[in-house]
Amino acid sequence: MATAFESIPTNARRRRGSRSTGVNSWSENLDWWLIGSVLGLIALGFMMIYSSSRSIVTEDPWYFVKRQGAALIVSVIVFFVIMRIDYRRFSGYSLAAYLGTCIALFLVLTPIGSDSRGAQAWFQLPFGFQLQPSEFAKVVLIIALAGFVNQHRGEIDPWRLTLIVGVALIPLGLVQLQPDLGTNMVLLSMVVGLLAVAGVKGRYLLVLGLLAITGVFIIANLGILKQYQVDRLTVVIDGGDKTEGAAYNQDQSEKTIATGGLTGQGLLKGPQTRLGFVPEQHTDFIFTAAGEEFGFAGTSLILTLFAIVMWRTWRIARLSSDFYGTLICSGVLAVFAFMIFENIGMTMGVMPITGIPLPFMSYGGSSLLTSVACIALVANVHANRFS
Amino acid sequence: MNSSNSRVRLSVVGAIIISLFSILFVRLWFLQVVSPETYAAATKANRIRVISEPAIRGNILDRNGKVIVKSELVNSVQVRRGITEEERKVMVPNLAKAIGKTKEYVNSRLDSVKFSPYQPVPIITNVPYDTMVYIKERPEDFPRVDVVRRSIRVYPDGSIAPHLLGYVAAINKQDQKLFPNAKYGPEENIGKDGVERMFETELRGVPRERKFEVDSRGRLIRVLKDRPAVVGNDVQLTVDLDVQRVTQESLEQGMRAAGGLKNTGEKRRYENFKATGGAAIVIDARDGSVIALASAPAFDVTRFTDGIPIEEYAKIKDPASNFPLLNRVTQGQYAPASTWKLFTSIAALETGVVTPEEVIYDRGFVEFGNPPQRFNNAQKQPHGVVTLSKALTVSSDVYYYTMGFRFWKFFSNRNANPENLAKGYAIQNVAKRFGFGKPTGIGLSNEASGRIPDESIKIQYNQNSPDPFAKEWLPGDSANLAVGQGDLLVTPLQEAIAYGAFANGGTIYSPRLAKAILSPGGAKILRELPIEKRGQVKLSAAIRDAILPGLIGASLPNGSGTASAAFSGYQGMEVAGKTGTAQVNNKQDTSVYAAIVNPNPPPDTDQPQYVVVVFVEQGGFGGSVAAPIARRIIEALNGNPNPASVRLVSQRDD
Repeated sequence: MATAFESIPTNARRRRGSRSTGVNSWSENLDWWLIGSVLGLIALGFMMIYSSSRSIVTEDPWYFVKRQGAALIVSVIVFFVIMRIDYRRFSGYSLAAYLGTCIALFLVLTPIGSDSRGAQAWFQLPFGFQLQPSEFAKVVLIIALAGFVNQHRGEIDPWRLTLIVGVALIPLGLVQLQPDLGTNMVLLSMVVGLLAVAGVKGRYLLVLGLLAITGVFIIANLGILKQYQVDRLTVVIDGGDKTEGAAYNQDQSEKTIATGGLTGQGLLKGPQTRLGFVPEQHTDFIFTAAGEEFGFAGTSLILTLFAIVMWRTWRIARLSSDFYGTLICSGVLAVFAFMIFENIGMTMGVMPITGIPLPFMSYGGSSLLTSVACIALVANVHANRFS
Repeated sequence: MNSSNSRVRLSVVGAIIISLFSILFVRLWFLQVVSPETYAAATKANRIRVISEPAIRGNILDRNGKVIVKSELVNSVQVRRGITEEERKVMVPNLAKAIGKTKEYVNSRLDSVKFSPYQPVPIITNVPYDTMVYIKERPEDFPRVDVVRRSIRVYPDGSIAPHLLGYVAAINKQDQKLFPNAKYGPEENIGKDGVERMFETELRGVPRERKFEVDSRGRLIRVLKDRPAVVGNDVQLTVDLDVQRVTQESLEQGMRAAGGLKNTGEKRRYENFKATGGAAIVIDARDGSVIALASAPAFDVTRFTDGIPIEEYAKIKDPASNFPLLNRVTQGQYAPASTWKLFTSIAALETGVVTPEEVIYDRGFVEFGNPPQRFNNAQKQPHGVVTLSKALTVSSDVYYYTMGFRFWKFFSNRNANPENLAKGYAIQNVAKRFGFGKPTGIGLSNEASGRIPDESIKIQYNQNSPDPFAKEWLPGDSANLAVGQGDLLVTPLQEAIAYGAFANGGTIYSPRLAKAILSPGGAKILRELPIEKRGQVKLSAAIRDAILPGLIGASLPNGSGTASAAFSGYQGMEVAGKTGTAQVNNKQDTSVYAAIVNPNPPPDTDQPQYVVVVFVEQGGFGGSVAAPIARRIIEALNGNPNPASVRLVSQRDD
């Protein structure tokens, strides 16, 4: 089996122009800019999870941190597992992965899945853990669609385009039945990002974009969405009643970030965070906690770390030895770019609230695992860039 | 697809991502660096709760320091917020039973949006001690119920001078606007009217203010500030509690008695008098202090201490109750009738249309004009030979009609000589100088102005009348004005202030309700409230001396005056008082009496001098109803706190 580990020494040797002793050296195989930034974001995420969640479970202030720690351990294991497999081998499993995801997304809608916060989106696991298949769908669809697009590179005519979109629409439709508009918007941006890099003609992309926007409008107006989701979407546009619901959430979030000022109130010292005025602050609104406690200094650090992750992913996409690697990295890039912009944007009132977590930082095992898996794919492409 | 194309596309994607990140950076910069202060205040308001507890309201005292209104701590039942459905199911029936109310009552209080969502819901004020103990001993039956001490208004002598005191009740939006700088709690009490409103800032004190930091669920985190309450200051009124009580009683007694009196007047003969409303005011002529003020029907101010029940308030508002909330002393506008002859006399003597000695023959009527129009005395009674003094004493209308015609002649020749207009309008000019036609400035709400008629007023009021005479000042207008009828309207308070100015030699005072602001408990005087002069009228001693005997004669006990019968057997300070009987369209006559008590105090003594004015709507002759009411009040001014009941006089004369 040609694993990533077998090929890495070769890359290293070639790059330095001298023979390696054959010892696997992590420092040479990994993009430390990428991994370092991700580790930094995860560390900041843990601080903010502690700060914003310690008053929720009064008996155990570390409750959420512990659970996130467990998810982190699983994520690290998954990272190494993915790293051990040459990404090019994933291509062969595209169809199986795709079908598996669709089945999981279907099963979660049946009584096997469970309902929480208005969406039928979770599998209940032992020890109170939950699994959210729509999160993993992000990773799997990147692999599957990248493989599909890669097979048809350079010849994506309207017919193939329709096929690709049709393939993407099945999981999207299943996610919409939960309903989870946020995840679908992430998936959509991923499809568009992949197709854009794949070389689909500009006008097709334009048509696709218009269709997507129309689709969102139809979904919003057909009553498929729950009222709170419509409210969240429209609140940025019409302002809304700032004392309750989505508008309250956004209003509080903006104010909380603003009170951080230049240097912040200090870790564990933000009154808004400490007193729980921003709902969902340890999950989707984690950025507000950082904004209040670390101020502009902290938030710009977070943005910078994300920017480095974007930059390195983009760079790896360019340097990939094959087009499949470029496509995978582009998918990851699109997913992260959209999630970061949407999540941070909604906390500052420039985007509607859609319930998308902030990669690496928000509390939530499935989310952390998915984000790490995405980075593992990118790191994998990087490690194999010369082979 | 070649790889350079793919690179271009990747670059485009990169550029899009850079622009998205730039948006985030700019927004962050704006939020956190450019404008954090505006947001900081907003989030502070989020977590800081200010709870204010009203201070104990100051007392209102009479001129001698007797308490008219005080505040008392009572046991009040309230229910804390955050009650669960189960707790409510248990609590509501138990509480309703304990306080003797229905379940619906308790539920309606709990669900009322009137009360602050952060503070306990007040259910009932003033529960007996036993109820308090019963509730406190059974917390399991009364979950979340507290019995707390609360301050309410208490009236030791019952409902004293309600129109003057006003009352306190929960603040509303209009009240809030009147005190824009004071912070009031959402259900805090505020002075609604009268003295309670005028001296609101003194009486209220400073509420206890506690600032808490709370979390998003409203749980207390810590106390940031606890500023203790400062008890409100006391207000010492100019009102004399005893005289006030007697005044209220007398007005009510007289009005009740008038209801048993048959109307002997020309119109509506042989009906009983309705006596639908009355006003009585006593002022100190030396400084304008209000000694007593009563308006009838009155409302029971003690019913307002804990929010008056809706059905009771509806009854007060019902026109069939004759508007008890109306303060007829300041808001009632009446024709003063013959009591006005004082001012006509001043006008006549000043312009020289008559001398005190001139004799006029009163046949019971006088004719004027061409064709001649006849003006009658009341009951067409002839008074024979009258001078100014006798005209006042016996109230000769013929004498004053004659004065009116003399004024009118000047008016009709107003173009011949510029001074003629001033002489033609001499009564109006005197009235204006004595403060009629505009509010006295007592400070009670919605004080009426009254009306001094002249040709411009007639034009203004009869703009659309087809009758050309409606817009002209006619001899009859002058004649009617001379006897205080026609379009003339005064308030009882204006009349009292003007009589006071005549008594004191010409000083128009602003009516004064309060003497001083005292420290809580009345221990020391914080501030004396000044006596305010509103004007000085030129009033020659000769004119005053010429008029006064006529007024004294009118009220002379056992004399021949129109009020003599009312003062039969009276002993005490000398009274110079004039009766009046005003004719009102479609109504029974208004009974009026205005008097100066102790008109000629010896110089260099500080003997008091008072003015008493009484009006009774649909009460009949001034001498038969208003004068006897005033007499009883004057007995109280002479130091008798419990004079004999009002005894009406059956009289056929005005």
